[in-house]
Amino acid sequence: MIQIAIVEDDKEILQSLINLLQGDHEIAVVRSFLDAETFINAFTDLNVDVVLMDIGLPGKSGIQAIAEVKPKKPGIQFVMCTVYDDEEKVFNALCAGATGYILKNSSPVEISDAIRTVFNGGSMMSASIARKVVESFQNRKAQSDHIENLSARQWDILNYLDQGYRYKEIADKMNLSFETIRTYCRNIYEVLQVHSRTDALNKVFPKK
Amino acid sequence: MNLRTGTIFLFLMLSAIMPAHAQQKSVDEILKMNDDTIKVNELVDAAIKFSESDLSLADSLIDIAVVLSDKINYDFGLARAYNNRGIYLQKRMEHSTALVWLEKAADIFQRLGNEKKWYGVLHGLGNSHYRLGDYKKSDSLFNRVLIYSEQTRDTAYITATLHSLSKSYEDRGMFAEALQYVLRSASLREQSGNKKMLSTDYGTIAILMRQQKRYDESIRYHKLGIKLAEETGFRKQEEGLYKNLGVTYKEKGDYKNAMKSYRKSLEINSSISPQGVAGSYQNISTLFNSMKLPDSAFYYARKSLQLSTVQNDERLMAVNYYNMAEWTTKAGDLVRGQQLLDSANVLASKTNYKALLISIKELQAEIHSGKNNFKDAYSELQKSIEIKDSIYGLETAKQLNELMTKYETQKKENEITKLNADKLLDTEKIARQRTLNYSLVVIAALLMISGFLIFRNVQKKRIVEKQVALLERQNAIESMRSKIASDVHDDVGASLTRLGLNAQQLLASTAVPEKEKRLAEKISFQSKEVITGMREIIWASNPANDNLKSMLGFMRQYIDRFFDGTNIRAVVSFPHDAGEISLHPEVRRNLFLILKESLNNAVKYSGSDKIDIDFSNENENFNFDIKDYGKGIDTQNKDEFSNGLRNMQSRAEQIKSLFKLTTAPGKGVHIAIEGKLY
Repeated sequence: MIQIAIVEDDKEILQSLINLLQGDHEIAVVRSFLDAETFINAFTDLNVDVVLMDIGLPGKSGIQAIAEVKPKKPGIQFVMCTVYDDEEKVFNALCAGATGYILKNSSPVEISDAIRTVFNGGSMMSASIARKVVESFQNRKAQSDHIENLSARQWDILNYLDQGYRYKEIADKMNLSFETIRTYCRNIYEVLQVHSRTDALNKVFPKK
Repeated sequence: MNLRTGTIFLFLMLSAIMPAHAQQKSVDEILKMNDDTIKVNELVDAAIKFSESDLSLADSLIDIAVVLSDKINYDFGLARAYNNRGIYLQKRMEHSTALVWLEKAADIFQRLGNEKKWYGVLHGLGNSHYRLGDYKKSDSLFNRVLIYSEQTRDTAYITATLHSLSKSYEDRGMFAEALQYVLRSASLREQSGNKKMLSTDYGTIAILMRQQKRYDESIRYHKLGIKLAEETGFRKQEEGLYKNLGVTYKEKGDYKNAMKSYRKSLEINSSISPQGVAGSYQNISTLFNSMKLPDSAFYYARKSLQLSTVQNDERLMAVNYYNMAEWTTKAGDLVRGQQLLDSANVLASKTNYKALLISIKELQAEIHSGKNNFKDAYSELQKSIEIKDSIYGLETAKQLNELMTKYETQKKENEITKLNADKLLDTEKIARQRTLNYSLVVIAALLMISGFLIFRNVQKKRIVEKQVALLERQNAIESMRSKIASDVHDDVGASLTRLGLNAQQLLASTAVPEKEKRLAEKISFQSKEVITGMREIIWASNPANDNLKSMLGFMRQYIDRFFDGTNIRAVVSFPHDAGEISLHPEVRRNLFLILKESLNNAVKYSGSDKIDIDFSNENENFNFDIKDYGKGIDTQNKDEFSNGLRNMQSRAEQIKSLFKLTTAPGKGVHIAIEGKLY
């Protein structure tokens, strides 16, 4: 049973999401929050596997919330929910610690799939997000020394995604399974997150 | 059963019932009277007294009075009996039946030549007609009575008629006319020095003015009324005036003074009317709710509920339950809200409190919708409609209306385009002006060198001023665009999402038949389309996106989503370091639209499994190419594509770019655009 929490400020949308997930017997919505602050306060006692997090919240944004709490329990996966597919915001969420994203106005199947995927250790990456990830790593090439970088395989997959190949095509090309590709995407996000945290640290403690 | 037996039967029946009422004369005593005419009158008076508590007894008394009057040919008594029956029927709001009896009474009084009684009944008839909504009849009756009453110079009679007229206009929402009549009544009472009644008139005037939103005047009249009520020791009236003053302050938004007034009313009620205290608490609780202080609101609602329970004031209990149900539901606790609403419903139904039942049904419908139980929600709304007789729509219909905002945005877009056009016109005007000025300057230089110098300076200044104005106009346009973008962004997006998710729930429900599920699918799909459309409008209207990086990023995302779920691979080659190079917004928009058009064509007609989309630039010069490797177009037969191709061509021309189409049957289609970014 996958235990999830939902953070969503619109009560009607929140109720709709809960209703839609009721049909999936492997997923249980155990907590819900209307804003980031309450969520952050409750986080230490929170016992869930996945959190569906609205980006646009009153007060602190969903992205800020993830950045604050992810280091405390890195095992909890965050799936970002947005109304508009704002690439910039989704990318920032991924850098802050999210490992998945869906549009709010999705079918129950799409929502459950996203939750299951991240629960099972995988992630999804669209071509445009891949593009942003590539750009982000290229900009760092100059600075990175001690920090983990992408392996050759990870670069390959990233580049394929950037060039518009589908998961299935990539899997065929590289003789890997669908699942493995998704796991690679997750790994790439994790490296991205490390880099982002390092960036943030460097801002506070600049390198000499 | 003949008349005589009937009378005896009723006689016996009554003796059997024999209520223990502490009346002036017990029924028993009345029936034992010898003088029949007096008996009839006493019976008729007693009937009114009993009409509140024991309707069947009252009816019986009237019946006896009628029978008796008939027996002794006492028409006056008969008329009185009919009239009083009409009166207590009115009290029970059974106006249609009341009319029947009142008309009978009026006929007799008229026949008997008893004008005073006759007009009295006409007045009663007027009341019933206006309660039934027949204002034409009631207006004519009241006016007749008014004229007669003015002849009698009986102030009480006149003011009573004025009040009936006023009430009937108020019912129709014609507050100005209603006010006229009360003001007349007030001036009559001022003249006669009837302070008590005058204070009630002031109270009525104040309420009417409040309904016209003339808050400050309303407050003045409330206070005048309060002063008089205080002077005359008319405490009940004083309490009512303070309460209404509170309502006026509340509507005005002055919560501080509203609270003061309510507390004053509470104070008075505490000493004169324990029943009133519960009502005051209820007023205070709703005020706290308006002030967004839920804890206090609930506290006072509970206090009011406690008291009204003790006093068995079921209507007030219902109101408090309803208020708490509403606040609890709005705060998100549907379970508790339902419990409270159920309590309210039981009590309101029991007391036939129609006005509250409407609100209860509506809130019930809301709760059902929240749990996605649309069938029950709909039936609740139907019930409220039955009670209210007006037309409502379903939750979904309300939300669909919010899509109207999309069209509002379109309208605003047009405004922006118009402003841009104006801007271009201004630019041309300035150019022309410049040319003219320079010619003049040359002529002046030939004539006078110093004059030429001064002249040129003046012209320069004017041009600069015009440029500044143009920049300001530009800024205004851009900030308007940003504001529209952000205004529309959140609200419409959320509404559309709610709509789409509701449709999803219909799709997921097993209770919905297949045919309706297709419709729900359409709604879900269309709501997504609108969101996508909105996204494009917002992107286009945000000046922050007038750069190359943003355009390429947005195009990339569009391409991604466009080919998701197809077997076509889109290979995108965009420069990696696009940077923040500025673009003209028209360039950005038109290139995007060309992209959309060509992708549509490629998917629909080409049959290609790969599409190349390339963009490259050197400073402001760019090349944009879209290639597919499919069937190609037979240039002889390109009718089907003509419109689309012509569109693309004209879009390219609009931004002063070159449009080149290379194609041949079996050789795919290559669209090439070459131009400048700004």
